[in-house]
Amino acid sequence: MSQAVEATEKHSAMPSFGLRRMTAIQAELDALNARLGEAEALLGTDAAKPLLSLRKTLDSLCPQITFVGQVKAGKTALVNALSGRPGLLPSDVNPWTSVVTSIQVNGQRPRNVRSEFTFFQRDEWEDLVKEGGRLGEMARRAGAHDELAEIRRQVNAMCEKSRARLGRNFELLLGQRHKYDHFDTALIERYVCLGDPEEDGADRQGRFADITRLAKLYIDEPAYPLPLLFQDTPGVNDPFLMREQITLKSVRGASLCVVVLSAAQALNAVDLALVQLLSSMENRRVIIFVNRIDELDRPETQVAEIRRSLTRTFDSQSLGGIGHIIFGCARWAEAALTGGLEQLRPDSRASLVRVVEAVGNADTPVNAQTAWIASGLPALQEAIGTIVEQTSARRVVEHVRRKLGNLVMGAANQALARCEAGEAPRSRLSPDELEARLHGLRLDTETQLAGASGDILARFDADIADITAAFIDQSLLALTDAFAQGVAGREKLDPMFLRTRTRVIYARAVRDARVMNDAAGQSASDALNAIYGALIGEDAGNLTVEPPQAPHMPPPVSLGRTILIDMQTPWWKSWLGRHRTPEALEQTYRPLIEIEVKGITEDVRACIETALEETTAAMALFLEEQGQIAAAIAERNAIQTASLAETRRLVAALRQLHGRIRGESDKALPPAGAKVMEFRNAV
Amino acid sequence: MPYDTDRARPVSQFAYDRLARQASTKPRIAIAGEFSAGKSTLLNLLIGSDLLTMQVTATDAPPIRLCHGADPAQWIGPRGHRQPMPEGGIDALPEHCREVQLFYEADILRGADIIDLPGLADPNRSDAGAHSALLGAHMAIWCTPATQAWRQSERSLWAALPDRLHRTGLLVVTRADKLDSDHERERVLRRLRRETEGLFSHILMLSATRGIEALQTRDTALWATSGCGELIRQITARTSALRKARLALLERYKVAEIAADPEDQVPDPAPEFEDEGVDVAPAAESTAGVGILELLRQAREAHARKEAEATQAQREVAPAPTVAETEPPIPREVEIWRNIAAQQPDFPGKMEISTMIEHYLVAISR
Ligand SMILES: Nc1nc2c(ncn2[C@@H]2O[C@H](COP(=O)(O)OP(=O)(O)OP(=O)(O)O)[C@@H](O)[C@H]2O)c(=O)[nH]1
Ligand SMILES: Nc1nc2c(ncn2[C@@H]2O[C@H](COP(=O)(O)OP(=O)(O)OP(=O)(O)O)[C@@H](O)[C@H]2O)c(=O)[nH]1
Ligand SMILES: [Mg+2]
Ligand SMILES: [Mg+2]
Repeated sequence: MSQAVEATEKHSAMPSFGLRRMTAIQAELDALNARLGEAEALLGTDAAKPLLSLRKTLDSLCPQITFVGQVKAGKTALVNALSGRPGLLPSDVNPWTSVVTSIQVNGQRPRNVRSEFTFFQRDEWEDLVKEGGRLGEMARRAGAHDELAEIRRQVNAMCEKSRARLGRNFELLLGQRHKYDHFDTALIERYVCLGDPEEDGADRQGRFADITRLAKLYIDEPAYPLPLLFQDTPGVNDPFLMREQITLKSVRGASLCVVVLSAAQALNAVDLALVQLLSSMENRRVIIFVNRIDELDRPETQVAEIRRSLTRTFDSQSLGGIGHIIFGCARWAEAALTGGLEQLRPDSRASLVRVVEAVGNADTPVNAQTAWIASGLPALQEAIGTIVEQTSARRVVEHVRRKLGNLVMGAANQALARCEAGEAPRSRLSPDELEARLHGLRLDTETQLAGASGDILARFDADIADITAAFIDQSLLALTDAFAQGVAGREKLDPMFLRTRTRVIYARAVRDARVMNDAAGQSASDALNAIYGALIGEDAGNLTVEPPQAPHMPPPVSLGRTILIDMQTPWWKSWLGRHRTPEALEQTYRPLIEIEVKGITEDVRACIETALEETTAAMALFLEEQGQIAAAIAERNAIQTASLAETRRLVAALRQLHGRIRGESDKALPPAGAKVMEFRNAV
Repeated sequence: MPYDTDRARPVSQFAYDRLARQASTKPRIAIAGEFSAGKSTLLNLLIGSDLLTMQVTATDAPPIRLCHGADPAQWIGPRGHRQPMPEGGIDALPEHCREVQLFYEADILRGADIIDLPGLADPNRSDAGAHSALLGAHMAIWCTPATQAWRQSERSLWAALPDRLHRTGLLVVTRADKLDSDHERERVLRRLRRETEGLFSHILMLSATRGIEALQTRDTALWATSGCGELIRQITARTSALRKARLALLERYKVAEIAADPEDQVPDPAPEFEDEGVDVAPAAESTAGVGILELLRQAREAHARKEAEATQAQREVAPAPTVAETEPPIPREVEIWRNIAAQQPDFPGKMEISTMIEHYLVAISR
């Protein structure tokens, strides 16, 4: 049994104020699970396989919440507190987290595995070591020699360090994975933290850190109604340049991102760039958490001051869409969980008292409960719940509901056909006629989708060509200006322009794809409903099939990729310095920028193409499944039913179930916990 | 071509005067760092007042220069014009204000002017103003908060500054009180020493809030642990060293005859003085952006013209002087130095000034 796990057992349970939204989501999942159970009971072994796969889809819902921010904002401390395990992941006063570390709370996990650590693949490592990764590649292309030398130096130092820590043949470890049935602080430290070369025990801390790519821990936290994956990342803006690359890559699979800021210097230029980068992907999935408010002298008034300044900046940067800005303090949350309010530093405790008094009144006690509320964690949990509810949970639920509805309806229609066949066999549509109609439907749908897909891509290509040209011209202009004034013109040279515009174009393609999907789905399901009507007459009328949802098209990661033009002033300086005329500058600049832009737009185009193909495939699968059901009805050969009355009862039960499945989709979730909302508004 | 620092360098009379003036101005110390690093708090502590705004969000103000004295405050426009402060104070200043000058009678300002720069990395304002003010300083103090010390954005900005600022630069780690233990403070300092090698002459950690508290309660023990006393010692030592060094550099310059082609004769630019930007030579203010060579040439021409006019006038009006012809007049600059030296008995560069005056007199009498 490990130290950390033992230690956590002494913790008081995590309060559940902030978990109402998640509880509501779980209630919805439970209801759907119950419907699956009912369907299993009614349908027997016939439908066992598709039902099992739907159940798996429901069970595998595990929203990923990624924490990003500058070094020492308190990401690790926050993730620990949110997992209900203060001190689980190592945190420190110097830059520390060096590996993307996930804590999976609840949910499925591999047998006998509590922690697992994945090393780099050999080719990834070699790319990093030889070229300095993407950063090195950019530096080389930009001719930023100093920067390149710095990257080389850091990479060499890293290899040296690993060699010293792991022996000469450490590269044999690449591509491997270490798994344990436990974890404790010492074990985790060996893989995920930077280590301090001048400290005792430095040989153990961070022993494998440089070659570790991912770390994952599995914990059970009964307070959480849902499985969740909290992902801690290395801080950005660290002088150790390589850590940043790791972080930006990890945002990929996130359902939502929490940007952690430090109250003492909330939102500097680097933070803003990070927020812009994430919002260029999808800004309703971004939460801002301003941590360390205990370091303010007068948090009760200064928090409002900081909030005003943040919203002003966001508005002026057209980031008004960020709905969640939460203030809090990981220290208070830790203290609330361990019950150690007395162990807080005196100034931190004094700030806590001020906040509690300002929010409640002079009689409000300062205890674990109020400290937990003041820590902002319940508000953060509510915000996470709200976003998950609108995004990943909504998608999964909707997907399962549609599939289950169609499955139940198909079964009801088949049973109905069996009854009819038993009572008065009359074929409304022969199998051949049916096949002809289905074939026609498949062809129509395919043509419709192919035409619409072509249009969407053509429109994308035209729009992208326009903004690329505009961007290059604008950048060249800014550069020439900067050249004339002899200053680095990074402020004017805005890669965000490219990102936002590309994002807009992408959003339009997403919308077009959805329209295309819904239109094709609608006409297909109309045609299918007509076929069912023709197969079983009026009775089929009140049950209808539902077409598949439009595919999920998350924004392409390449939109968030750092590109050359994001790099800091020194690069520009050295660039400007090496060109004598604006024309010479343009000559080198144009091809460079074109390659960078092309890298992004090609990737975005590929994403759209894939999504369109997926839509076509999903629609084909839908027609295929429905075709099989219809064919079974048309054959009418399944007439071994013992009792007609029994089959009629089955039909009725299935229809009732179908009604419930469809009816629940309109039910809204209850509002978020009033207590937390009230508090949040007050703070 | 490497810059030769040993050989005596002949320059024209006018150029010499200008260099001498530059060498004797008070050094300017810039306090720089990202916004909310605690620059203004530190400076308030140094002068023992709360003249400067301290707030948790970024302060929107131009560079504020604190000078010794009791003159009314003034602001400086983009072309160097000085104007009295507007009624509404700092908030009422126009956009194009380049610098504000406040006068205050604090001991630390006797040796140097100190400039509180606007915070860097503020997403709502460009770094350009602070950056150029930083380039115009003789020495810089970089503030970084102990709890989030020395990030890449700070490093890349500081590393891109000229080496002369690195050689004298001081890294001040503020908010030491927010770290939990001496062990933590030591570990942060150790990392900073590793990561800033060659970029600063010294690193020190302090807590301005503790320092202020100590001043208010007259708690000497607290003052000692706050680290603020050490900062004051470092600053004073550096300003006098700076003045000495600057005056010593001037010794290498000799006034020579102006040849037919003055550009052959005057070595230029003089790197030890090229940092001068803001207020040294009146001509420089309106001709920002013109090369130093060109400036010197214009200045020499103007000087020559004036002298020609003066001799002309003398010939026409006054009778030929008798003694004055053999004894050159005492340059105005030397008078100024003498005055300064006389007023301030502990003026750090006193010795050097007198030697320099000798040198000067020898040079021009040849
Ligand atoms: N006073 C105070 N200290 C905090 C708070 N949150 C974190 N800290 C402390 O700040 C330091 C940094 O915290 P970490 O969680 O390691 O920060 P991080 O963002 O993960 O840092 P990197 O992994 O290096 O990027 C630690 O000493 C924490 O104890 C807070 O809310 N208040
Ligand atoms: N605890 C603590 N707080 C400090 C210290 N120094 C400054 N602060 C606080 O940090 C905040 C910012 O201080 P300022 O002095 O306004 O920072 P600045 O660098 O001048 O900021 P800008 O003018 O915006 O660039 C204020 O709330 C100060 O009270 C310190 O040593 N310890
Ligand atoms: Mg961390
Ligand atoms: Mg300030």
